[in-house]
Amino acid sequence: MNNDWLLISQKNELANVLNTNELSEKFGLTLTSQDAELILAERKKSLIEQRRVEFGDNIIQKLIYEFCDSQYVDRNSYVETLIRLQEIFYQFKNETEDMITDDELLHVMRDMFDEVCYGDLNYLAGSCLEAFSQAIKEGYRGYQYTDGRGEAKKFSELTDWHYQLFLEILERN
Amino acid sequence: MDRISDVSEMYSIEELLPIVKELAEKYTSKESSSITYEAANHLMSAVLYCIAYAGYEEDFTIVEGGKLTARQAYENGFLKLKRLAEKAHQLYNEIMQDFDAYENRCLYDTMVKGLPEFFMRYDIKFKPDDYILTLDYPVLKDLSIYDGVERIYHYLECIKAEQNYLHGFLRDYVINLLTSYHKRYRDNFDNLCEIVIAHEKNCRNN
Repeated sequence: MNNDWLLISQKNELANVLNTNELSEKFGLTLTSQDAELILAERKKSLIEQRRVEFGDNIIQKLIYEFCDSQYVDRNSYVETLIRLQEIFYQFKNETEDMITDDELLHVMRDMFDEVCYGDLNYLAGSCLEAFSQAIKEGYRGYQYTDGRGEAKKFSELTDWHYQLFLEILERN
Repeated sequence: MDRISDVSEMYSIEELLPIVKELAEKYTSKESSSITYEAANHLMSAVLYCIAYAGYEEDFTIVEGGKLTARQAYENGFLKLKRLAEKAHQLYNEIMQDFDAYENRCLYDTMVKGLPEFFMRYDIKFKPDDYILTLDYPVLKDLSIYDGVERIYHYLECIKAEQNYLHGFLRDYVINLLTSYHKRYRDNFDNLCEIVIAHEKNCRNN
C-alpha cells in the first residue's frame, strides 16, 4: 500500500517533467527519462539541503517553461543548468524568507540571468540574487507590483553588485 | 501532549500528508510549491492537534465508537475547536460583565489586555495549538496538559469560579484582606482566591 502510493507519485512527477519537452524542443532542448530522473533526484537533495518540503507540483516544470527560450540555455548543458537553477531557486526561497512567490522569484531569476548575468549561474546566485534577497530582508517589495519582471533593468547602471548601492537604486525606483 | 502521539500512531503519513498539503496551499495562497521544514512541522502539528481534539467531546471525555478517517477526524476536530473558541469567547464576555481585578495589576492585564488579544489573533486553521498568551495571572488548576483554545477555555472557567467566589464577599473586605496579606499585593503575581480561601479556612479553624 505504502509503496504503491510512492510509486504512482514518482511516475507522475517523471511524466510531468517529460511533458515539458513539448515546449522546450521548439528551442532545441529535450530531456530523456534518465535526465528527468537525475533532475528529480537532485531536486530531492536540494530540498533536503535547503530544509524544504515540496507538495504536489514540483518547481522544475515551471523552471523549464521560464528558461527554455533563453539564449543562454544551451542544449549541451541543459540538464546541469536545470539542476543548478533548481538549487538556486530553493536557496533563494529560503534567503528571501518566503516573502516572494514562486512566480515572482522565477521572473526575477530569468530577468537577471539574461540581462545582467548573461547566463552565468554563479554570478546569478553569488551576487545578483544575494543582493536582491538582502534588499527584500530590508523591506523592498517593488517586485510585487511587476510580478518580478523587469527587476534587472532597475540596476543596469550598476557594474558591481554592491548591496548598499543596490538598495539605493531600489529605493530610487 | 500524549494525545498527539496517539494520533500520529493511529494514522499513517499517507493519510495525513494530503491534509497537510491542502493546508500548505492555503498557507501560501497557492503561490509557493514548497515550504520550509519549520512551516511543514507547524502545519502537521495543526492537523494532528485537530485530529486529536476530534476524539474528545466538549466535556473532554473520549468519544466511543468506530475509527474515523484522518480527513473526517481533522474536519470534526476543526469544527469542534471552532465551537470551543466561540464558547470561550462567550464565557469571557460573561465574566467581563462584572469582572473585578481587586486592583491586582496582573489579573487586570491578563483579562482586560491579554484575552482580547487572544481572541483577535487565535489562528484556528494554521496554529490551533497556540494559546498565544503567557497567562501571567496564575490559576489554581494545572493547565499544562492543554494547548490552544482548550487552555484558554479552562483558564476562563477557573477565573469564573474565582470571581464567583470572591463576589461572595464585600469588595472592601477582600481588598483589606489582600492588603494585610501583602502590602504590594497589587503588583504581585499571586492567586487572589488562594489568599482569601486560606484566610477563611484559618478563621474557621480558630
